[in-house]
Amino acid sequence: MANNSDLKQKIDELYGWLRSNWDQLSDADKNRGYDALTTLQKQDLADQLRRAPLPDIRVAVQAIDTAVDGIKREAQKLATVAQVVGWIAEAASLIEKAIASGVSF
Amino acid sequence: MAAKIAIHRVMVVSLALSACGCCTAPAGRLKALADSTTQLSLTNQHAYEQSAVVERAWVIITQKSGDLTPESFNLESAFAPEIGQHPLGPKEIGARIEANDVALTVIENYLLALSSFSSKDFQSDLDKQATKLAGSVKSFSNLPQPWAKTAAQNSGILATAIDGLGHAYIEHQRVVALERAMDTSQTPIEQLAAFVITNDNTVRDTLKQMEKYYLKDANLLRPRTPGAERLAFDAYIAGVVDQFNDVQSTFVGLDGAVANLPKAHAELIRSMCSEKPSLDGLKELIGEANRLSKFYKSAK
Repeated sequence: MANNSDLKQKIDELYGWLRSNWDQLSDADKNRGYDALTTLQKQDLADQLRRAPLPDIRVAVQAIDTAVDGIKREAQKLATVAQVVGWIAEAASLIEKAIASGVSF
Repeated sequence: MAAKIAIHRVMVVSLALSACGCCTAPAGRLKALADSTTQLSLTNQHAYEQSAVVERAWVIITQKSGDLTPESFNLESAFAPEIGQHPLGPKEIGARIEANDVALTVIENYLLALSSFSSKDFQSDLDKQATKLAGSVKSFSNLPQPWAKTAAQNSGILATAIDGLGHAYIEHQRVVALERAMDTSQTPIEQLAAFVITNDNTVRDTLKQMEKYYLKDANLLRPRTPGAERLAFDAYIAGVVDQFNDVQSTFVGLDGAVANLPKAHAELIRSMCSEKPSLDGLKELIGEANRLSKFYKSAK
């Protein structure tokens, strides 16, 4: 495969030639020339995309997912604090009822 | 006596935790950051649509001679590799923008979870239970037994301490949990933001080059003489050039905002225990997200 600067040079040369000779070319030659030019252009853009980096983010995504799970667990823990106070309230209420009804401790 | 010491101990811990008060969960700021990230996801989708428009224009102008088929204008074959070459797959323009959408959605969901956690009303549940507890204690003092008054007094102290300790514990744990989650997520957030910017830069550079080729092709095809045909041709090309400019503007704004995401995240970590936190990154991000939101709405 030609390297990128070779390809760009080919595109420039072909474009320059077509631009200068367009009006003299037959319809068939115009088709051939234009098809060749756009094929090279597409090739260049595809190479540009292929060469550009595409970092792997799976580890980063996994780390964020773990952090979200941790936050959800912590929310559960804090909800339990209110629940514990609820149990104490419940116990106090039972003691109060027991005292009121004369149960000795 | 032992019970009294225990009660005092509880109160001291409670007071110590609540007296500190120096670290608070940045609920409002986290919500603002989460909302801005949602806007960035929307802008990314908008960029995807804009890119598809210019890719379509590119597919049209680069049609080969010969008969048209239903596949002639398929965007997925905009960069159809020549025989013997590997397809671009995830490195294709659309695939890169879709991958960015995944990265931004991960950040968005994370920030929404943090925002929800930092503003979740654990306290009102606690208050509800503490009110019940206080009610029971009050009933004690109304009992006729002589020792009930003392019991009520001690129980009242205990109830107050439990309530105070519960509040202080929840706020303390909330900040601790947020700090821990955000500290461990700082580097992944930086990596995800860098990923989005890397992909956007690649797409922008490719579209810039595509526009150059597009204009060259248009110059070859442009009617040579002035007239109605050339006017129509030029008007069409002008529209496409505008679309190329629009998509570049969207990516520039999006990247500017995404670059501020890790900075804003780091600022929020530091802001939890700071009275005068620096929030420049967050402000810039919110400003850019608002601007993109208006731009997006006006473009629709």
